[in-house]
Amino acid sequence: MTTQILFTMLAPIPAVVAIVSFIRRRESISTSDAFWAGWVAGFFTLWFFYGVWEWLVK
Amino acid sequence: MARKIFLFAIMIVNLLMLDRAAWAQDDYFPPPGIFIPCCSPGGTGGYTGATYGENGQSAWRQVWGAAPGDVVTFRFVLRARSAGSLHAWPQTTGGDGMTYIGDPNNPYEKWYWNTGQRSSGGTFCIDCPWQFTANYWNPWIYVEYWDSGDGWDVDLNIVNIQTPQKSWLALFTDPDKNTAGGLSNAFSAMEGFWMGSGSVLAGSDWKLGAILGAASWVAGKLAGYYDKIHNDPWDGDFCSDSWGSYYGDTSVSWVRDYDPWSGGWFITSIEQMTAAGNMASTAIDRAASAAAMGEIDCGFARRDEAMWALHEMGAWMGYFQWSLQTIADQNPDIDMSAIYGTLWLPDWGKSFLGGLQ
Repeated sequence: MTTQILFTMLAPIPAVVAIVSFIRRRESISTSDAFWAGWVAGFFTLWFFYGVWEWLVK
Repeated sequence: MARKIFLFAIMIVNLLMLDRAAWAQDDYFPPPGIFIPCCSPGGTGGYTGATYGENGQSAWRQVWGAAPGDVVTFRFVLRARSAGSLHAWPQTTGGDGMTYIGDPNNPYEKWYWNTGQRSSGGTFCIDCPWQFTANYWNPWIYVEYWDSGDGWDVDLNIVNIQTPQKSWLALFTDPDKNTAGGLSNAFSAMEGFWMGSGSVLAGSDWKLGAILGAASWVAGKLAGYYDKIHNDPWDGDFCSDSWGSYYGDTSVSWVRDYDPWSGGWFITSIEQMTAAGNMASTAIDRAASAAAMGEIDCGFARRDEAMWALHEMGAWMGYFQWSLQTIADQNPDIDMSAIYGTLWLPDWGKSFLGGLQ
């Protein structure tokens, strides 16, 4: 349980890094980099919200 | 000894004369075989009438019919030379970017002659084109000069006034193209976002994972369509209509069986968006190619088709947005932030397409 909470709490870090890098490079980013920035942001954002959801709502 | 010094001096003088002669012959003006008529019939040109060492302006000509933004091309034509040298620079009272566009390897168009002799050299050509962009109506052009002799005769003859063809195809102008480029990048990122978040969501409900997988797939397609608005690849078939390209992509249509929430509208909207997007891509490329070739009728016809298809794609993007929201609304027991937090993108894409005209 503690490990799950730890992973949930750490998840925003890669998500924020991916979102910030996309925003900073949005004028010149390649299609592939945009995809992977989105993938990392999507995966870890949902991981975080899903963890919080499980923890608080359920 | 004195004899040796004398012979050496003679040799040096000879070498200098030979060098001078060779230098002058290389650039002798006018070059052999080139005839310069005398003189301007009057009115259009300007016998400068200058006396030795005089600065001035001459050969005034008004460019009737030129509007702000028009590109004006004219020729600098030398009609007669004098015993002095001439340094001349074309100018305008109402324009920017005065540029020499002649061929420096063509003896008539070459700009700048220098024989090293005051009577033959200078800054000018015999007959060469110049260009500038008007920023006032009916601007004047003239020659700014420095003349060391008793006057050269120069005409400025207007060749062409061209209105840039950007206004008749608003689709291809900034800032629309920049916005389309931004939307293309945003949909590429959303392709990844829906794929990544769909992987997590599939752990709770694999059908929702399939929905986000389909949304990710169509986001990638949409990124490609917006990129077509941003860039204009060549399509030489620009006088053929693009209705044949209106066909939906059914790659993710199997997801329809796993969507009990939107009444089928989610997949229908994807099929219709790809159909309109395929047609818009074809029509946009053909319209841009027709515009580049000056085929105005074909360009307008393809532009109308592109506009219809883009508006159609925008309308179906509205259904796509609505169906995604409906799917999220009907799953209150699961975290739907991956959908609610991203509805702004189809909303932006829909508004952009609907606003194109």
